[in-house]
Amino acid sequence: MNREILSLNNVNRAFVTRKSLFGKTKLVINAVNQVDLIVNKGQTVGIVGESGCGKSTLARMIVLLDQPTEGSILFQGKELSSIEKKEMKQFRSKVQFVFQDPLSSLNPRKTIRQILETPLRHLTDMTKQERADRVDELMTLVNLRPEFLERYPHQFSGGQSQRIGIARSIAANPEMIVLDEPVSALDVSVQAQVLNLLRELKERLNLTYIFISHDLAVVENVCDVVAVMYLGRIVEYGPRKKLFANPRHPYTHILLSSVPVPGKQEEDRPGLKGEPPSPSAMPPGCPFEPRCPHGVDRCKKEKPILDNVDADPRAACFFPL
Amino acid sequence: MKENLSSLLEVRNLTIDFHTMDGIARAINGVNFSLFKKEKIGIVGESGCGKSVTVLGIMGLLQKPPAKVREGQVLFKGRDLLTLPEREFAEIRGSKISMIFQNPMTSLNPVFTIGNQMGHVIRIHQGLRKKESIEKAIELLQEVGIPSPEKRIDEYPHQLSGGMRQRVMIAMAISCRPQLIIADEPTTALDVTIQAQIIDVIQDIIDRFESSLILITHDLAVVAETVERVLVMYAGKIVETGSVQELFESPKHPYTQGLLGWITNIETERGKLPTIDGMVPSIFNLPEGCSFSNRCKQCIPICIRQEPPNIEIKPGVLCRCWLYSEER
Repeated sequence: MNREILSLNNVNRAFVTRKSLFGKTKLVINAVNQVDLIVNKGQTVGIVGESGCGKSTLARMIVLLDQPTEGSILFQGKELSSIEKKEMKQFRSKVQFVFQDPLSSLNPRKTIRQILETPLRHLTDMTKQERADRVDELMTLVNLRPEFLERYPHQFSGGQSQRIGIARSIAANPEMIVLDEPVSALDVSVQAQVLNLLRELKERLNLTYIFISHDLAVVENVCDVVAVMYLGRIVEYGPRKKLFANPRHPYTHILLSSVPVPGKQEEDRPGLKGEPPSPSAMPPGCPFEPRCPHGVDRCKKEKPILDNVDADPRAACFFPL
Repeated sequence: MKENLSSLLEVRNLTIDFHTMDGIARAINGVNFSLFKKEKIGIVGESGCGKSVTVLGIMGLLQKPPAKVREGQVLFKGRDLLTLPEREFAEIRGSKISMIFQNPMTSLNPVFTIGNQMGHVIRIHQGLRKKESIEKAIELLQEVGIPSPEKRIDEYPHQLSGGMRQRVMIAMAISCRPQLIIADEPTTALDVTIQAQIIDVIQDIIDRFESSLILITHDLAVVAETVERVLVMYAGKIVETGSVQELFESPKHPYTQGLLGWITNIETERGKLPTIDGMVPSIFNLPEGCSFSNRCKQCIPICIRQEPPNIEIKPGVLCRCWLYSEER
């Protein structure tokens, strides 16, 4: 059942800004750079990276909140940029989004019932009665009591709000959900509850997840396939187990060892010097070269690309570990 | 070993209420702990457990009202900070005790340059002249590993990255060589690779200056790497105290066990994660008995009726739970 649901081919997103208020100097920021990615149905694909690496921009393009400046994104074989206005509803009912901040993504003036009914009204042909039934069903699906329906978002805790956000995203029976840092704003003990819920829903509703996070432990726990991004590029891509056990790109290696582990002393941590270069002044060669412990001359001049399909995981590095 | 070290800070039975429109919220309830010279302790707990209120109370930075110190003492080298007149307290704050805040963007003033803000602190506490204070600031920036500090000094906070801003905060905090540094979630807003760098800087500074550290965080792994002793807070109380090793090897309190269960399981297992069911009780309406009783899997009848005492399980390991009491 390895059916391809989403594929990204050489996707680029460049933002053009002006340097000064009146100045004409154009500054091009390549937020997402030559990204290729294939997502199969039923998979959970994790996208990890530090802030500013382009993971959220990528997510926004996948759900059509933004358009790539180059390259194409195909959802179920259909080019996203060719979707016309009247087909939009159909697309939205298939692909949904869960946001990072559970509270600011719910309208504070609307009751939970109104919030959950909105996607049903716009994306399905349900009658009033059917909608009411569906809303009750959604509440049970995310383990919230139906009497909460008449309350407002501010009356809920972070974990509960995120459940409501998830209920809203599954309302119209989507096939794929893009989750942008869904548990980052929550406390540890609540994170576990939400992650369990996501896993349960995925099995029950046969969903495909694109899971964006900067938290490696969370990604390791929920994802099947992981893509590591650095400065707009995917630098390593592969099945979760292999990638976490034997990372081949030096960046992934350092990223994994930067996570503090109880009981491990800091001496055995390679650590990473410096900070990522500005995306507006990208080095001509490998974007990781200025911080890489193994960088050589070749890395300064040429940009490495993800190596061939046989390697597992695939790394964008001339000298993978 | 601890006996021949004198204690630097002693918090005794500190209880702080917030008087709000919805009634009185007891943010922290009878917090007791002491900190020795050169010791590093961590306070962990989830949001709303009172860890920030505890240190803001120590620093005298709570806005009163709504906050009100109901009871307790904060003894810093034997002097009770809570009864000090504001002017004397202001002299200690920033020079003897200083604080690193969570969000370096909001705790630096966006309209002043780095040098201006750092110089201000140095001039107030050390009586240096403007030019000397800027030189001193450059020196401090160098200590926390900021490249080309003489250039950075004239920049504004928005020109620096998150990690750099946090370094500036640290430089400011150490400008008077404080005996106690309180770091409130210093790495929460940062990326992992930068987090590792900042932890190293803090470690290095504490060791070099022979200061004491109170590190507040919700991240148990950060605590494990940085401190010697940990206090676990839940709903305004310290529920467990012990050395880092003790806590990670054999957590005593069911709440700590739950928190650690998540950390160790998320790395090794897939499948369902162990959770702590339910939610933290509202601090407006704390239960009569143990505040964790409604979520505890090992709850026994007495837990609901009566508050558990703080039991010393072995020297240095304290736990507020009926399971370890003989009276139950």
